[in-house]
Amino acid sequence: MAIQDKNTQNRNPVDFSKVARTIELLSKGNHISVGDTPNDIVCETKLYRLLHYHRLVNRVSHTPILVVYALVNRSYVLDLQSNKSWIRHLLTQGFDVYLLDWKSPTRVDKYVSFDDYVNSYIDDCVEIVQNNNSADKITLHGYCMGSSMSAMYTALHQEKIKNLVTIAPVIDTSKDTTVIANISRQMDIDKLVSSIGYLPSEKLYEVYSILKPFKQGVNKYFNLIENIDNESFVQNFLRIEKWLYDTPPIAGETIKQWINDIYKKNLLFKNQLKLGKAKVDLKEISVPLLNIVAEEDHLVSPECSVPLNEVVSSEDRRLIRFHTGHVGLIASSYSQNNVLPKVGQWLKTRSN
Amino acid sequence: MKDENNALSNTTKYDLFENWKNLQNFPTLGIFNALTKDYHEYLEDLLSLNRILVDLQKNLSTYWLQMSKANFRAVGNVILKSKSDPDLKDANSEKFRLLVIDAFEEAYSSLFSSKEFAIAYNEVYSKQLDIVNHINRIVEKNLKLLNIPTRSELDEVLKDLQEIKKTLRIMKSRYGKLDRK
Repeated sequence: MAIQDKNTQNRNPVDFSKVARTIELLSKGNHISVGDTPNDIVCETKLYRLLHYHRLVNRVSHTPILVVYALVNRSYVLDLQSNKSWIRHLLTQGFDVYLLDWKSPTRVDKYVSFDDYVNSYIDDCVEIVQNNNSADKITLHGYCMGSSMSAMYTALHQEKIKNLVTIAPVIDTSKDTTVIANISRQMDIDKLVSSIGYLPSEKLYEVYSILKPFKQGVNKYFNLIENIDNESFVQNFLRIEKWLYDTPPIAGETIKQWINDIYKKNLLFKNQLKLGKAKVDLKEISVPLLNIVAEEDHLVSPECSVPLNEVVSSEDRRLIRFHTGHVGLIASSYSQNNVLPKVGQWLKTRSN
Repeated sequence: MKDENNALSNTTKYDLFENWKNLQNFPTLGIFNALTKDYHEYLEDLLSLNRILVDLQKNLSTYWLQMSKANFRAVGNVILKSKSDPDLKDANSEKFRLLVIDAFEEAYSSLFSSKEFAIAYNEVYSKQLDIVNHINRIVEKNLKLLNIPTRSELDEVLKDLQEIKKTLRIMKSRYGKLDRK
């Protein structure tokens, strides 16, 4: 049923049946399936799962790739749907792909720190991948916070790494102009951790909701109403929506270090970040580096990610900028057509 | 714009609580002292909690003042632009919707990116945490009374557990290396 004023030009008819169907769709709950690329769980602990994806074509590369996801939201964004899957695209290019999928910490994990994530969990997974593939070295490939963790790991355990591929890493936080950086700089994280023990998911949603409050927060629902009859649009909307509102909490010590040492004191960029007794010196990184940044990233400013190429000692280092956003880099048609072919090309020449 | 809620100076506001505190600290004698001991502690807790609530209210006023200003700015921009463009006179048009979205996005994004907002937002959250902490302290006091492990005691255990896990992992890794040799 459409109501339209005949005297008004350029007027959108208000189609109440579309509004009703949208409300019905949203109120049903989101049971859409994600992360469908076939895989085996190689290892599972309380805080992570290591997934190994099934081969889709003959393998062309001898160096396996370990993808390290961030500690916020869920890793299935890298395999959201088959035609926009980062993982699937790497598989179809002939790479052997593993994914480090973080699980939710609880109050009991209050004292789990970056030292544990980097020097224990990532290290354990690297060793499993090495043993599974009888490979001396592997390609470490991080996304967002996972990129920062991959850079930390490479600086400390370079003998196990052949290539480092980072997407939107958080490096020089003094140049980060995002709302997240602005809020983080003023946050009394010590009080939060001593009171609650971890960073609750609700707090993360709260911060996400003010990133692009109207262009993304409000306008997306208008777009959904308009496209409610377009099955592919609706499915894509639901998948992204599911991912946006699915984030684990972050362990107390880990978030304390992330806010205090990385965002407030910028210690990672200054090469003064300590993980346990070891100091992370990014200058130590000499393996080939591919750093990918998004020009329109509103979660990690490109200016914050780019300096990784300036601080490492690698002779073989490349920075590629793409005109897209933080999620667009990894889970979009743009990424399938523009980003992944370049990543594959770079990796193929360095993976045998 | 003067904030009515903050019209009283801090000293005047807190005087209220201080007076109650002084009153309940009047010396009591003999049996009355023993009977009122616990009561004094709980009353003090309640008074401190009220003090935190007053501070929270003050921080919330600053926060909502900033949000309201952003709202006024956005509405102002919508009115200005829609007046100058005849295409924008129809509130049901697609163009008008985009104008509203853009105006609100611009006003709120610049607010959320400002240092003053970050300070106000974090102060509100900090006071909410103070309330949680205060309640935690009251609960801990009761747990001690019931001889049940308190949160801070459990915290110590968790810390030790994490250290033990780390040590075990190092030992396991060293043992593995020796075994391979």
